[in-house]
Amino acid sequence: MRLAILILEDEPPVREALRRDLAVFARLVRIEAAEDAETAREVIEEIRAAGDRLALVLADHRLPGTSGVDVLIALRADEDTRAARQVLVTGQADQDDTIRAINDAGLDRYVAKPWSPDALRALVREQLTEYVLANRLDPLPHLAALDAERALALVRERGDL
Amino acid sequence: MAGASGVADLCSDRPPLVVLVIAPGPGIEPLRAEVAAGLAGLATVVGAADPAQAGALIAAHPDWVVPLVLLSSEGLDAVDPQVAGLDAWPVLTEARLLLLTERPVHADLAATVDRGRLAALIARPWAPGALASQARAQAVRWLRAKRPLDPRTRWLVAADGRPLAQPESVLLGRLELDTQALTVELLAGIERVLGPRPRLRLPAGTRLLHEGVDVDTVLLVLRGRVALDHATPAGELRLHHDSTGSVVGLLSLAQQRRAFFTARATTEVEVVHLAFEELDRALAADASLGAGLAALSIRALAERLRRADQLQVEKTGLNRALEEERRRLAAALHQLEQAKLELVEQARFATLGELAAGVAHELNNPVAAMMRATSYIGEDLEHLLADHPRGALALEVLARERDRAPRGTAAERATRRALEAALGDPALAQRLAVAGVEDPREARALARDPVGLALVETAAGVGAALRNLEVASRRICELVEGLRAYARPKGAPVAGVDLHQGLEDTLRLMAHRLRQVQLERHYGPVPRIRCHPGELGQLWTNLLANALDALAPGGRIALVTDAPDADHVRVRIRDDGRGIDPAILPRVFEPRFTTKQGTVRYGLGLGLAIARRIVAAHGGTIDLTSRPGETEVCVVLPVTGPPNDEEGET
Amino acid sequence: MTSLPSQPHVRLTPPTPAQVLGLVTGPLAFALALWIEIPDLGPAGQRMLAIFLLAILLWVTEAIPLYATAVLVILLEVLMLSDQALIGGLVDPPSAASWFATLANPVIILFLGGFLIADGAHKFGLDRNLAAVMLRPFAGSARRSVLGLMLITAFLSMFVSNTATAATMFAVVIPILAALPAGAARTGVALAIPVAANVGGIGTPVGSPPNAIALGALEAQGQGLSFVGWMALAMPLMLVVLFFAWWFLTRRYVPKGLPLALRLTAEFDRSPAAVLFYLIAGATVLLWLTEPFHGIASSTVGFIPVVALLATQVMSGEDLRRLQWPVLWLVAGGIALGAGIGQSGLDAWLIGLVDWERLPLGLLLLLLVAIALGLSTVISNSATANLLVPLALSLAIGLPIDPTAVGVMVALACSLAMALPISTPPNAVAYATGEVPTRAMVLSGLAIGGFGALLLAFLMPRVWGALGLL
Repeated sequence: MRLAILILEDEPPVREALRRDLAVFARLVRIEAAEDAETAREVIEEIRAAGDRLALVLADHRLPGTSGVDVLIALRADEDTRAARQVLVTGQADQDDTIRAINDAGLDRYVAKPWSPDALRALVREQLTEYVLANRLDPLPHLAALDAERALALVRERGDL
Repeated sequence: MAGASGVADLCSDRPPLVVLVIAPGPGIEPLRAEVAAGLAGLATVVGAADPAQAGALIAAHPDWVVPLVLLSSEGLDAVDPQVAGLDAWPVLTEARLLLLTERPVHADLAATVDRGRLAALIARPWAPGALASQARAQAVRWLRAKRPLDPRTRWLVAADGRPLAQPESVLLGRLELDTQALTVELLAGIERVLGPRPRLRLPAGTRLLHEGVDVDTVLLVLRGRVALDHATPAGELRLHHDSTGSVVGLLSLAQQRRAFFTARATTEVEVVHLAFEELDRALAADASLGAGLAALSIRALAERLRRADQLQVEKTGLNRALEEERRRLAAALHQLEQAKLELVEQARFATLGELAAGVAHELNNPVAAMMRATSYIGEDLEHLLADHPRGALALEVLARERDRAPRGTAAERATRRALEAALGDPALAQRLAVAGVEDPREARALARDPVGLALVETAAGVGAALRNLEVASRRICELVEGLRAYARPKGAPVAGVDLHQGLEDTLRLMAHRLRQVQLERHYGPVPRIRCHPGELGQLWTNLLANALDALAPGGRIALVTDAPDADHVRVRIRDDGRGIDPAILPRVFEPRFTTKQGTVRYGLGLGLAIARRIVAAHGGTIDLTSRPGETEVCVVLPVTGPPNDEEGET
Repeated sequence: MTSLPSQPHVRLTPPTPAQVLGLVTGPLAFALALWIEIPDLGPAGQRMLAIFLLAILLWVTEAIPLYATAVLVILLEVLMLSDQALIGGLVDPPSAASWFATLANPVIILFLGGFLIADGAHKFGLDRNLAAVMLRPFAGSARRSVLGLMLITAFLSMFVSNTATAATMFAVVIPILAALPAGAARTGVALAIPVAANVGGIGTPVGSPPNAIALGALEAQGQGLSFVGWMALAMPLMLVVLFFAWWFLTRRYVPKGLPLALRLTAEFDRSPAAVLFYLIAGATVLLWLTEPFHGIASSTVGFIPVVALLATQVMSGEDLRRLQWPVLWLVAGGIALGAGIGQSGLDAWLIGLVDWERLPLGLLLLLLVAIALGLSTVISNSATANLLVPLALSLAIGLPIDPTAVGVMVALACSLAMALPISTPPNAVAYATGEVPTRAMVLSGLAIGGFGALLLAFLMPRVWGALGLL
């Protein structure tokens, strides 16, 4: 079982930049990209079918034909994707949308474009750790993608079995 | 009657005056005789059994002049239709109508009264001679009104227009006299009772009565003029001057004893002062004085009443004029406000335009540098890699990735799945897919060659970065171009403008808002036009912004262009939003009109107004049709562009 | 952060092929052992054999969780071998309560105390601060730093579980790793931690579960061993293996002269609760080390901090709840299994299967150590000890050697297995950091574990004898 990160962004250069900045995680974490809400659903279905778990969604605020916020709200409402951490990566989100994202989708973080790669990686690491802790998953298979100190607290509790 | 033969003489060469008497049965004869007696020497009396027979008589004698028709209601179901039947004859429409009736109540005369056709109503039985005198009086009145120049009239009526025959009652007889004569007669009567009354000579400006003070005297004005003034919040108001009459203090005779006017002499006046009690004594002693006083009072009050009515009419007219004036002022004010708002909006766009021009200019240099640097990096990498042992591979991968056409995430995933199937290693497949490797054979080769894989990954990364740099700088370039078109100062119209280019510029500038709707372009072949490109940019912006405001995310906007004829181009912007309420549809082109929560959203509220101004300035037309689910703005512009005389305007 | 309540979401994972194998063969073996008539084995022994076979298969395949197998063993013993057995026919069966009592065996109580002290040490930051203080003399070169890291890791591991020690030390070390050049040096440092944690675990009875299992089994045979007694047997080996490991890892992975800056700040918690904890923990360790003087059993001593820490509210019910009960129950299951084998007479039967006299003692011990090492490389150390300690102690009956030596030897051998990421939790943590290739782990595990095993099989009995410890 691998953790999966979904990049929801319709502009190819931005998508590629995000993917490249997160390439350090690629060895341990499945990184998927989708350009619109429908592709996102397909990707999520594939992740599920492969037995992996969607841990983090990085969504742009504006997507063709819909709003990234609406996609996030839908994901939060779905039993299978409810646990996934949600981050809005956006150049411009108006106040209404941001409020909706926080109140209705339980948005976890907000990243402004242009982002700093280091800050983005730190944020992804933190969010993946949150996901692992919240779902009490075995952190060891994902340890290199997590905040080691917090993830190891889970290991410590297991004892020498 | 004296002079009857004279009248007959006079009549000999005139059209005969004929009075019709319409009554059924034998009763007609005494009627005819009585009327004939009254009209002896004036008119011939002809009898008819019913209106139809009367009509036949009229038809037979086209030379007849009929001043009077006597109609007996005896045997008639309803009078109104009969009168209407008579009035069908033009010669009878001018005749005076005398109705003889035995009924106590008539409910069948409404139309006759309404048309003013009933001259008199005589109930049977009447006093002896009443019918005759009434018939004669009516005939005389007819002559006086319709034939004032007829010698028969002159014979019957005095030079001043009053009939020679005087009223028989004292009061009405007095009213026939003129005011001066009445005054003199009344004063003479009073002096007979009270003894000589002294005349008071008073200079102009003397106040004879004081408004708001009890009045217990009457003043008879023998000479000079008096004005009646009334105090109002707006100052002293002169209500009567020429209409004052010769009795001042009249109202004191009525219940109201407090003066309503201030009476002031406007010339030197000569008046006789009578205390209330003196007048009372005089009237008590000589009852005939009452008629004179009453006649004088009626005369004076009638004057004043007429004046008052006239004032009322004048007032109404003035009010109407005032209202009209007020409306015009309001309209002018509204227009001024519109003009101001448009000016402000124009100024805003002008500032925005300058800013945009400045930014566009400043952006050009760095963008140019970026674009050049991107291609330099590409060239330099080629040189650099030429000496690399596996430079050829790296260059090939780099070029492949740099020139890759954009693909969707679905395609990317399909590639990756194919690689996964070929290699059986998802992580490796992902790396290879990111590096742009699609061929399974190449993938397998690289899977066995970690060094080569690293090289390919790096080269692909550089290629993708170069491509993204190029795409990004090209986009900035296009944005700058769009901004410049938008910001171009109005100046002279530009010929040969590509309409679609302008639309695309606008779409690019609005891309951030358009992202969440579906945009359909249906561009038809259109000729190049002459226009102000910047203004048109503003036009498209406003129209698209309005359409976007009406749309929920996921809505659809269609842009349709075509050329309806050789001289015009047409742009239609259609959305499937909620539509515009028919109640407000007629007002959407008004400035400041906006449906956004009842508040004026600056700029957007003016959007359609400005759109209309721009289209009008280009000599085109703009129309808006709307129903729920389809709102369309249709702009038609002439290919020749704005009329030439418009150029100096701004 | 997320406002939605996280519901307990239990996902039953489908069994792996190995688990399926265990689930099929376990009950099969169990049934077969009961069904087949076995000569020379009484009904009790036969039933115990069935339980033992089932336990072996379940523990080796991990068909059900290790601790579940442990409680299953206890339950089956109650149902089949106690005075409340479903089927009678037993001569003088032990009471059901005696089987249940394994859950509160003195060794379990000893561990309880050890766990509570270890958790408290973490709660008050004592482990980290001790590491920081003790690492200071080793700052400078990477090789020295690795020695320091290994010593402190081993020291902590003597009192804290190997896993918790590794977790604590990796939290310290991961930032240090990032400062090193990628490659061998990182591998060396990352390997040093699990090796030291595994080896350190043999140092005291509370260091790791196999120790407790051996101790429990020995006590059941009336061969009790004091806290210090254990340390005297195990410490020399621990230190030698530790230094060998340091030497091996640094020679192989850490270049000479590579600088490594260890900047760790110690900030001891000086709150009254922390001070109280230091006192209680210190007193407990002191009492353990001084058992020969006062004679209070180490398990009794282990219960003192439990009472003291809870009474003073330095540790709460919440801390108690978070103790690693699965480990305690696993140990209890092992003790119950060992007791069952001894009481049912299964041990005698097992010894009778092979003519041990023919084999040289040295070879026999080497075989025992090798089996322990091999088995615990692929399955849990504790499970290995659970299976092998009773067997080894049975074997010792017929051998010219102190059973204590055999028990301790098997327990220590279990802890020396560290050749694979799955061998021990500290190995899994090291592997998860991504800095340790499996090859490196296998190599170092074989070298260090092999070195330790050889010492254990050939040298240690002599040393123990020479020192007069046995």
